[in-house]
Amino acid sequence: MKSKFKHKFLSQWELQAMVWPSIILMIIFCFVPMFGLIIAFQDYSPLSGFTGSEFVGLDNFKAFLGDKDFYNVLTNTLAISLMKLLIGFPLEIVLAILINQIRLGIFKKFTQTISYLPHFLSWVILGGMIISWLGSTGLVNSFLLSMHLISEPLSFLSNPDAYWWIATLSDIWKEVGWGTILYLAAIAGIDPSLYEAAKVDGAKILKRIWYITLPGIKNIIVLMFVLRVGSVLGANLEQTLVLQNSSNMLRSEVIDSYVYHLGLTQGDFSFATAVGIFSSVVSVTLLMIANVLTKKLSDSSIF
Amino acid sequence: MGLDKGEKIFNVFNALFMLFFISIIVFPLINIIALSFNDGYDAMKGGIYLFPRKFTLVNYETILKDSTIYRAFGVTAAKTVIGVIGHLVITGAAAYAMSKPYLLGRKIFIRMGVITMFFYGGMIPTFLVVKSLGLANSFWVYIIPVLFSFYDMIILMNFFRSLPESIEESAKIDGANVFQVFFKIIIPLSFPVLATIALFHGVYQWNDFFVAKLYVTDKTLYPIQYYLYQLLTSAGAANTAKAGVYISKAFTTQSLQQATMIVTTLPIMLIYPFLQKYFISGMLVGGVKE
Amino acid sequence: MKKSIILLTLVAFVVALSGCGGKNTSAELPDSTIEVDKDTPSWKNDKATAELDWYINFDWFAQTWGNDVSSQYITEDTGVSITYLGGSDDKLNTMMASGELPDIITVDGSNPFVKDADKFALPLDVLAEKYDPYFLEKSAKPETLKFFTRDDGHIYGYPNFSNTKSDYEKGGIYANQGFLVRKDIYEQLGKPDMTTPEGFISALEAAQKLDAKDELGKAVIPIGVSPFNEGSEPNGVFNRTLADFIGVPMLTEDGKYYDRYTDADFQKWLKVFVDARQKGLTDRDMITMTKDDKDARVTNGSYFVYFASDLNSETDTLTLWANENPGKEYIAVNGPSSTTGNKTALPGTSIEGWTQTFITKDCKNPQKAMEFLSYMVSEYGNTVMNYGREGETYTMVDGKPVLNADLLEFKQTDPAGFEKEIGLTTHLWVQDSALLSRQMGLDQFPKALQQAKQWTLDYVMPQFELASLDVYLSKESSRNAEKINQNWSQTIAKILDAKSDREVDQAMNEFIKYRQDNGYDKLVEERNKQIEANEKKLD
Repeated sequence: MKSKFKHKFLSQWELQAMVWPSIILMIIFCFVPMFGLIIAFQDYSPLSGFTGSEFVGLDNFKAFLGDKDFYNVLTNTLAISLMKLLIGFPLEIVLAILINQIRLGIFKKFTQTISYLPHFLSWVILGGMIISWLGSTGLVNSFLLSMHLISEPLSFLSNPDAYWWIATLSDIWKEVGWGTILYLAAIAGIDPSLYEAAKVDGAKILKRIWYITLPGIKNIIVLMFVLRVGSVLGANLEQTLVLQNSSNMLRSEVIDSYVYHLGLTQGDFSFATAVGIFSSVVSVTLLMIANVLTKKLSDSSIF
Repeated sequence: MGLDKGEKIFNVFNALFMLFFISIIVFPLINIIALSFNDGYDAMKGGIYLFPRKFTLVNYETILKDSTIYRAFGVTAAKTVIGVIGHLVITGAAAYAMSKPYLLGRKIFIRMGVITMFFYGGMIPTFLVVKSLGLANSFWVYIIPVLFSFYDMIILMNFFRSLPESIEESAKIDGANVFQVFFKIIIPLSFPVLATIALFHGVYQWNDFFVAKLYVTDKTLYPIQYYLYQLLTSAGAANTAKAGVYISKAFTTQSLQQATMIVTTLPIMLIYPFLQKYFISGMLVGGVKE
Repeated sequence: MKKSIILLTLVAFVVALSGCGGKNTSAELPDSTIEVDKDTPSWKNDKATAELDWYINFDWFAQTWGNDVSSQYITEDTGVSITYLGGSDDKLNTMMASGELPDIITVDGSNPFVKDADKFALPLDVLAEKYDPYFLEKSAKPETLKFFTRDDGHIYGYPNFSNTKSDYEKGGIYANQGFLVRKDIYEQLGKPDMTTPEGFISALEAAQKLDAKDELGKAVIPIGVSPFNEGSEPNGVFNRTLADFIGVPMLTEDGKYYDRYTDADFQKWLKVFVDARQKGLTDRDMITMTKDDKDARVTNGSYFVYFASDLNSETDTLTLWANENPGKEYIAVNGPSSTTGNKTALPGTSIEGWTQTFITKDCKNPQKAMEFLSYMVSEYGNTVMNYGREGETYTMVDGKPVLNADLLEFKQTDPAGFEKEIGLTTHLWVQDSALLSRQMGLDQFPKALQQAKQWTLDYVMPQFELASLDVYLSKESSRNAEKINQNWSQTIAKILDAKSDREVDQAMNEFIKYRQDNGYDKLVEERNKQIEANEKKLD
């Protein structure tokens, strides 16, 4: 048994040599620090250290699981993430395909470059602009008023029910172009002769997209979908802190900002870590479910 | 081959849609540029959208005459280039090995990786590990901890898996070993995805200042984005003095902030058009070799 | 592979463990190298030099020691040259965890580490006795020293901007809030009295009827307030500024924590603002607007009244507006006042100051660090830091230092360049702001602020009992305090958008219930303990 393993291992030593540096890096920089998760069960202070801090059992978990507000926060997080997923995710794919269809090389380059620029703007700068535009004398209201679509300014920002949409749409606006890059790379890998052949067969453009482009990038779509499902509990902290205000707080507080307000700014790492462990467990579960489902539906697994 | 009628209509609509899309996207960018060329005090009055109202180059002069930023640019460029190359080699090699289903230990590795994607030990333990390795306050702290990324590996692995097995087989029959296959066949065939990962990691390296903030005290090792970060926070400096004492401090105008953002971010923003040719060349190689 | 994981984890634990322990304690401090004397500052006798690292927990502080005239003078005097290290909470946390600290550390007075100072800092009283008794005798302010003495009898951190009762008695302490009106409109309306609810509303209505225009040609908005979501006071003026103006007490009559939000007079005035909002007299976007939006309003003269919770942060906006529109500048007048006879009481800088500076247990040279700190804290050190050397950078006029004319002009024309090359007043981490304020008087403020600052002189009141109110809370209570603050923000937003007084009362009742459900009683209890402790130290 052992010698068989050894033999097999030696026969693929090149492959093993390629993977081991990464394993070692992962152990050092990801696994070793995980001993820090222990502080979720402690009343941790950096001054007392991991060994000197008092153990408090599940108190930190009780602190948020017993907090009524937490469930509201959880709802907000899931809602915003799902909206981003349901609207933003397909949009990235559609946009990638459309950009790919642009005939004029320079226009294509230009469109793509412009489309991903907002990704580089920080939320601090962008958030301020968005708030100004959505204000009662801002661009959006001025436009709607001048088109006589509304009779008095809408209060987008102080209406809690509008927040999910503002968060979703502003995030899509910022990231959709950036999100197309990977799909464009995948589309570039599709064999051009397939399109030529389909054209000869008389397939119209939409058909070619449907039967050649989409299946050609199916793997990447599935991969990105599964990864996105695994991250639904992480809603953008920076975005939330910038767009949040007293009026919309009920709908704008998400897990990350909750941890920021109640844990990190108070120097309470134990609380923050406990919430972190909770989200991780939920996320891994979701990821696994998504992976199994896609395996069943498309008989390809991302791992 | 010519275009059919449907395709022509499609293209017209597509072009119109793209123009609409660009105009939505581009507006804030123009706004930022306009502000950066406007007098800082005048900009406080608001109402600047597409063009500066009181044109000035002072904001840019202020930034460019500060000698510290040139060194910071150097640091950023170095960490971006070295970081990207290292990241592609390490993560790419692992992804290739992992794309082989018969790799021993593959399942364990995947499981470990998934765990690392979700469970983060936290800032403090990570700091202690990095520091104990002697990386704190060294250039390599920018590079080594992020040489490997499980997320990027998954993406690369999925691309490698989709490459036709036949090419590799024929190379092996010609006597090429695994490394030769990887460097001479897999890499050229995967230019689009490698360029994508390079872009992702390059942008990360260019924009990240958190590592510097945490691990670096030597000012000569500060990257350019740390400079922008300091400037953005200095705008709130007066507010930090909650004690209500009047501090006479040089005012950081919004215009100066915007100009700094443009200076520090423009180089990485403009890198994409140069990478675009790799997206096309990958396709050609793929087409020819098939 | 499993073995290697275990091995590495073990290594990591050892690393983590070695982080702590092995610190100096005060018992092991080396003897002083010079004869010390409580009447002479030790820096005068100790000619040794030292290089010390000074960590400032504020990212934006980008000053470099030794580049400017101010720090060069200080190094000449003390023999100490500083390397500034900068960072924010992230860096501070990791530094504390790793157990390797720089020589001197400065953090905000409300930083969570302050309460555990005995674990990382050397007691200043012990250091001073050993190396520089002049610190306790003369450099530091006695009231400040007393206030910062902990239960164990030691002093760990020394603040900057600590203003004591005797500073208040000496005068020259200004408050930072203001009820500003556009002068031209105010005069056109015949300088209406806005101190009563009726007068307030009718003046705003009159301003609206006047149909005055701002610089953009839009109708002037009768009243605006400081932004809700950015700046030093959350919720515009509704956290404390309004309450301060109408003189809502800080403490109950028996010296306990007083709930200002439910105060009847405060509630009455809140409803006045609600009324103003319903009548369209306020800025529509009051609750959601950003600082940039507010800046645009003030610099275009869009408000008749601007109720400011932080005058200092309006320096640039008010200056710009006043310079371009002489005769229309914003001036401070009496604003909302008590309907029950309380006097307006504006907070000035408190005895707790702003930051605290510690000499750490890892300090390479505790003796020089102590001498340096003592120098910086002293009146002489303050003067060097703020004005430089007599005859070189300033001269004494009527017993007060006055900066040379060329430097003053440099400062006014190129503030950033002045900071970098001259650097006077920039090394302010243990500055005595009350001293500087007395020396400079109104001149410390730009012209556009002077009238408003002058106005505050009559109303500024020392309110030290609430100092460090939430610094020493238990983790649970500090979490609850944050939740209650957040809920108050939501409540105030609801109240200001209410359509009737009934809705206001309902929102208040919900708030009261919310805080009751979230550990309010325990929070008040802990706050009372702090107040009691403060009162003892203030006697």
